[in-house]
Amino acid sequence: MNGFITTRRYARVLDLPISFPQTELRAGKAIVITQLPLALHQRLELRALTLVVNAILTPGVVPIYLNTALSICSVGLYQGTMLTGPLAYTAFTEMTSITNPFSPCIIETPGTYNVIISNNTSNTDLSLTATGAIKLYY
Amino acid sequence: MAYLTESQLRNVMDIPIALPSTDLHMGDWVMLAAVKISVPMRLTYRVCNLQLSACTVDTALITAGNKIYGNLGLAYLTLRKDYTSGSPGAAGGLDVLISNALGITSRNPDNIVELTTAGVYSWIIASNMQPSTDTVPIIPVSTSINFRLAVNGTARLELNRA
Repeated sequence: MNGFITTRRYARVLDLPISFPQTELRAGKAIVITQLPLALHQRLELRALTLVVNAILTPGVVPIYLNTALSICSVGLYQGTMLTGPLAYTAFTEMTSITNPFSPCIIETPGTYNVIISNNTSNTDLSLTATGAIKLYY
Repeated sequence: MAYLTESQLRNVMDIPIALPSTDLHMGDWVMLAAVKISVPMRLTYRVCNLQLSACTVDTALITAGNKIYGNLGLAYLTLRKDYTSGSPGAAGGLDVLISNALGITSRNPDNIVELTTAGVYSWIIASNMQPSTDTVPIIPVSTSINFRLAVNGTARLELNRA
């Protein structure tokens, strides 16, 4: 891993964007931000994924969680589209939360991977922003 | 200026600052991207494009009285640290890309912004329009000056600047 990079090698390393500008996400809803099919001999790394809660649009309610582990809202990398068992995720703990960039999620198993942002309450609408990048080696 | 190694490349990623074509209402703003950095990270901002593709009024009719801030054009993209709420055009922005007319406005990539102080850095696109404060408004105050705009840019995040 300490070898020098040639231009040919560098051309095969890409940063794929994860971009979710400020958007209203209704209670219980989830949106797929990015979808990536990973093939054999490709490697995916997720290191930095930031989630911002811009506003709580339903003031004065006590949130009812649909999934307590995912807090009020979360964004994560999933295999498939079900909101179970994220491979890497960050959930609302403060206004801005981020995955641990020094503990990367590295995936080499072929499959289709999704970055999904979700509102995990049944009664609270939120305004959310998510930003990050996936590094793809092929 | 050392050579790039595989392990160093792993520590570098390009973070998107992107907004697909979107209608932005008069005086409104939207947060496009946010990055939280801590020691020893470094965020480098060089490239961004702001495109105004349509306006609900003839932009030639817009006067200084239609602008919230006289120096921020029609719409602007600002970079702010630890932004939570309030007008994004207020003092304290780290960088601003101003659009004064329809078309594409590009940031000068030689004007590099390097950030190493821990915090949350946010890019916010804002409309600088308001109902006219002119005594004889050219655009009726009941007319909403809305823009259709798009943003495309990137910021480089280095997880270990050493």
